[in-house]
Amino acid sequence: MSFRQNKPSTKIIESFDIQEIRIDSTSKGQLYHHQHTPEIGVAKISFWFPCGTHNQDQPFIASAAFDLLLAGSSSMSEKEIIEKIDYWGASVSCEAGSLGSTVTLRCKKDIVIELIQWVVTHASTASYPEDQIDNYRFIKSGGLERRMQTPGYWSERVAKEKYYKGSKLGVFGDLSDIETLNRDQIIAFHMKHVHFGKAMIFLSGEIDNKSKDNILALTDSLYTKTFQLDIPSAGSFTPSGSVSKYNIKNSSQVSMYIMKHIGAIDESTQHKLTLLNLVLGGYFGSRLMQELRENQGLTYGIGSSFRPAYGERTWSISGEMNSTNAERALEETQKIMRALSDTVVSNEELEKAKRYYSGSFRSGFDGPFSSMNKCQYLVMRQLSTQHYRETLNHIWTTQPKDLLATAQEFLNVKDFEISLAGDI
Amino acid sequence: MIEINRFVLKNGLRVVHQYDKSVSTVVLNTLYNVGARDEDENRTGFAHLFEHLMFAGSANVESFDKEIEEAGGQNNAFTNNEYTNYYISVPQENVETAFWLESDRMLALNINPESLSVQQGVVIEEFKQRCFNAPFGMLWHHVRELLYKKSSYRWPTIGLSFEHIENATLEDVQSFYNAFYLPQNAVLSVVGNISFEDCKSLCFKWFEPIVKEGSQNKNVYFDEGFPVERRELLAEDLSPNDAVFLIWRGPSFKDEDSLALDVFADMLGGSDVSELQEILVKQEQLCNAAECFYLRGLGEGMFMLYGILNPGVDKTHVENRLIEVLNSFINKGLSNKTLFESTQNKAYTGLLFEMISPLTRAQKLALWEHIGDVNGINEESKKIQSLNLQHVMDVAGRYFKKENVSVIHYSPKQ
Repeated sequence: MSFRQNKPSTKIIESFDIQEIRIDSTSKGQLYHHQHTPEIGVAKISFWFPCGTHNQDQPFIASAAFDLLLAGSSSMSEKEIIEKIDYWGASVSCEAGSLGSTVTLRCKKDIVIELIQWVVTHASTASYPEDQIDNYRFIKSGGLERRMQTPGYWSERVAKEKYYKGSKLGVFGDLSDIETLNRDQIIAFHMKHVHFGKAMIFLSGEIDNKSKDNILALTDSLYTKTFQLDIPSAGSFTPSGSVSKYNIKNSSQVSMYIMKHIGAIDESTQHKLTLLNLVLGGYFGSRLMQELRENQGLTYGIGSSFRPAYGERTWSISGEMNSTNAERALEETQKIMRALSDTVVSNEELEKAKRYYSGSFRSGFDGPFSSMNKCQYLVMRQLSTQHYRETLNHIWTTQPKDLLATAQEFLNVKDFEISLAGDI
Repeated sequence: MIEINRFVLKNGLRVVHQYDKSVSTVVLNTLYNVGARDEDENRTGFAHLFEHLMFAGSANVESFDKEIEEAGGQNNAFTNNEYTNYYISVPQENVETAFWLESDRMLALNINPESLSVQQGVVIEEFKQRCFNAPFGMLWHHVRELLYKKSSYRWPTIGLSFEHIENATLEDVQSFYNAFYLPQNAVLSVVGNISFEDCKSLCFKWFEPIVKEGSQNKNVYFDEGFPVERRELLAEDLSPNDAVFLIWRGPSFKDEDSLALDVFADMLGGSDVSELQEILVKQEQLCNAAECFYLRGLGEGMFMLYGILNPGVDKTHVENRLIEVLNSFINKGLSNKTLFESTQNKAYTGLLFEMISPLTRAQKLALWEHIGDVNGINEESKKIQSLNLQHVMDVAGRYFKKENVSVIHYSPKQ
């Protein structure tokens, strides 16, 4: 079978036709994004509110306001509201983010208008009954307690509390914050921030132009103000300079969390950072995964990624390993970080990351719901709607020396906050 | 409804295909008829360890992941008690790379002491992370220990202990590969932007020449029979709260009753305003979480009903209340009609959403073909719609009795 030794040739995804991500507005000024896919039978509608945890005075208020949005209204109980949604075979999820929060509806295409009307009516008049809040405290406490038992929770929390001290980015709620949640606070948050008339609307799935117009006519009547995200300045931060250790007695595993904040950067730098992150720990072929997992067997999972942080981002490396391997895993990780700042990556290594990225980038545009998250990303980062059309060009023109310069600017080990949580 | 193409290669590999021009990728999904239930009781966790080894390289491929990444693709796998499933998703232009890789590791895996040693380390880390470092991490160990006394279903996929993984030898894993990783013991599903003609052509080129001795897994297992008595286990684990888990074994996927029980579980606990939520969580505040589900296994199924208790609540009381709520719900019978219709409607919408993803379609196609009824993927929603409410309630009443429940009372580890 000598033919098997001949590896099939592969093509590089250098470019492809990307439909512009359009953000349109109604005649009144309500922003919306519409992506129609015929013949799939379902629709997904999302309302994106310009509010989130950064608006709350106390932890968990925003979460409570959204989690309990359909827990009762001025005219109906939670049971009545949800039973109707269930009967339609639909689902509604409400989630508080840091800058923006969403109410997302999933349903068959036939009942889109009724569902939107139903949800908007009851969410707008959400009454937050005391008994529901009471139950919510139990549910939320139980979930938080379970998370608090894991090293992963503590390694992240300890690092962020230290690094982001003084900023809401470093505020983590405790059980006591859940216990003291009260109805007045939640209602005040709702009254101030949760307005369908200020939300941006995402319409995707089998929603043709006529249906879109009907939906927008409905939501237009609620319009009060054009969607605008309030993006606070994150600030500048300095790491503590020492490795924090949070002891969890008898924990067999240690979680490691290494992080720093990345402030405002231009698009070109952003793309270089994307590639640098990939090489560092952003996919299975990365240095962290290959060295710590595949070569040394120190861990089941380790990786690096960016998370949004007030329009900017947190860059973190995290992983979990046996207690006996923790110090070594940390040393190896730091070695890899230094190596990227000291030595130019090979063309081969960079090419592999580019190929991987371009493939997943393109597949990210598949599917009837793909553009919603991409659209939100543009708004959060205040990028132009042309951004995605330029991405692959930026990726393919990045050279190894660019990655070295980027690493030297952003990947200095001294700039990162480090924490370990476990039996250490 | 999706249009399905199907054929069988001379070596016994079953292939199913669905052409989807709307996506830029092709998914190759390979299901091998081997899972944890096929392991030796002193070598548990093998099927899962082997899943890891399948990425270690093959006769003509030094690094499996590297080749996929260079092709702009992604891949992963999972193992359960009954089968092991691998998938590769690649840009359509590079689909032949996926065929090359998947066929090469079916042909001849490169198992060597070094790759075995590394993956043993990785799997042991996974064991510790999942079982020792997560709340209720040992749950499935306890569940299977309680439900089965002799059957090979009595250990979880991760393995009974990581010592079993540590003790695996090169000969052990080679034998495992030779016994189960055969084309006649596998199903390949191909979904995405590739025509049926191109799919066939690539299958004939890359897979048909693979001829291996051995036969399809006959899936014969010790038939233990469902428990007829109440069983109980007191367990301690990483958890901030007490918890109570009630479990019953049930009929297999192919049995019509299995679908009825799946729908029943959704009715009882599948909504924010379900009976379980309303009574145990909201009205009586006994639990901060109360849920149920039916696992539709190929060999047999499992119904789990559980509550995570609020502080100061008695476990026996919660156990009794869970049983009472369950029985009361069953006894409501036809008065659950609206709820039944809601559940059917949600299931239908859920299936429509599921079928949007080419990866999900590929996995479902492989599973349905493995079951022996590939068109089942198109019949799922019809079967749900044609269920009869009284029948659903009767089936639940027949299987889920207080007398033969298996119960785990969980306490936080001191």
